[in-house]
Amino acid sequence: MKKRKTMASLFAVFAVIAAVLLAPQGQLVASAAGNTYIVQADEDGDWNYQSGSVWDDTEEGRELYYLQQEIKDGDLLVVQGSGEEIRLNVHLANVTLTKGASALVFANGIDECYILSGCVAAINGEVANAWVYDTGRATFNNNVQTLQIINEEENEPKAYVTAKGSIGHVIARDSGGTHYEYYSVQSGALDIEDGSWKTAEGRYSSTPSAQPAPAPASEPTSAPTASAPQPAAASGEYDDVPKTGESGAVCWLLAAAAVCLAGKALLKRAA
Amino acid sequence: MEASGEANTVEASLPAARKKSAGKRSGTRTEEMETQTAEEARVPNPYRDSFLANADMAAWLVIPDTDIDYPVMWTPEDETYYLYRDFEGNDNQNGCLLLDTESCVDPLTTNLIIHGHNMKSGAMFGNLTDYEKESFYREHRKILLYTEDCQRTYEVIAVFRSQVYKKTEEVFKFYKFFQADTPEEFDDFYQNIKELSIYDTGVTAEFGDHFITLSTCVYHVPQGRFVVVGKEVESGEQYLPLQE
Repeated sequence: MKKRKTMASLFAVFAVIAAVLLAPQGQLVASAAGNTYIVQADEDGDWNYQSGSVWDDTEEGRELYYLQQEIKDGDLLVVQGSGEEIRLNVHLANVTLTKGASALVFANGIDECYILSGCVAAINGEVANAWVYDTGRATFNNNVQTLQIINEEENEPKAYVTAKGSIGHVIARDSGGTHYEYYSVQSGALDIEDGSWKTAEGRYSSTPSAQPAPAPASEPTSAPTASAPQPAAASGEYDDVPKTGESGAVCWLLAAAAVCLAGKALLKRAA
Repeated sequence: MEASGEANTVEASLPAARKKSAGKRSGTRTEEMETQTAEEARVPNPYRDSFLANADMAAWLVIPDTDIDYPVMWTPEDETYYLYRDFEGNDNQNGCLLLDTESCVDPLTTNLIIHGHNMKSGAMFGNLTDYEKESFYREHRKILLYTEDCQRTYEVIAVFRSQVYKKTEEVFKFYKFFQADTPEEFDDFYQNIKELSIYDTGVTAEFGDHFITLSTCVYHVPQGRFVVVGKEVESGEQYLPLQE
């Protein structure tokens, strides 16, 4: 019964997301938060992109370079295929790796990051909320506020996740309920192997009242596909010129509100 | 735009016919006649109401056949005052176009730099990046600027991507060029923008010419900027004092 309830609540969350994002023909509509692009690697490992969330094989993709010119703060990105780095100097509302994607993503920040089962990702940029599903593997090279390890296929999480930055809140859940839940994981400490919590004792807290984890470590990672981005220079380092990018504050607030509502619904159903 | 004056569109704001002054001739009487002719040629400013409504408005910018048709605000004491405020000073994500505080329309500096938001809606300079396509440029070569005194016409001379650099970086910074007092200063800017331009407009410039530089944020690099530079090609009509 409990299992069914959890599945139902998960389904409800995905249904809401799908309802927001998907048009009747399966095409992503441009939500208020921004435009959606899908990138796919070709046989040489070079990324190409199309507008929308579903790759249209009948249409040509454009080179990543043009996406770098076109994409703006608050836009959404879907990644499939395996290629080299995807470097986007914008704050993304959503990044989703799907269909066994393997990618190194650089962004100025990500509100929501979904790494689906079978995908491998190195994420560079501050992340507000991240989800790693089933056998997904992820390295977060900057801070993550909330990280959820979700298992839908087995009874225990199987993900491999590490982080160079700090993690504010980690929850691992499967169909049987919450597997473990920790807070304030220190920079570079997070270690989840085959879904198991391997983070060193003393480098995280079991209670939410703990002090926030310190700032992320800055030493480079040894993994070649998970290099930390150059830290953004403080604004004072740059010449004083008006910043004429569109403010993403409204988008972030909407995203935060959506997350809160979804969380509330989940808690209510679980209770 | 709420801040519109008597005319908002290019078609409405341009005079039906432009009076041309007589050819140059020597003699005091002739000069007096020319002065009289020039005075007679002055017409009411099509944006008079807007200038009178807000003293911070330095000019009105129009790119014919585009949505760029906005007031340009100049607040030397606080450059970003209108960055997130509308013409009336109310909070607004679009903000207004900003004339860089180191630019000036009277006396006119060599380069007028105008900053505007790159809005997804296309508002402000949200569609300025259309100039990346040469075909778009060919259809939109002219930039019009209406100041209190006169109308100025610019022709696009260069289109490029650049960025705001760190203070310590010694590179060409388009946003640092306002006044050329020597040919060398002028040529430095001119040569750099021509080299950076993503296509050749065929437009040339020489010391003494004036530029307008339109700048908006883009994201190809951190602190990226998309820039369209125009060269003043002809002086338009002169306007009567606003109070007349």
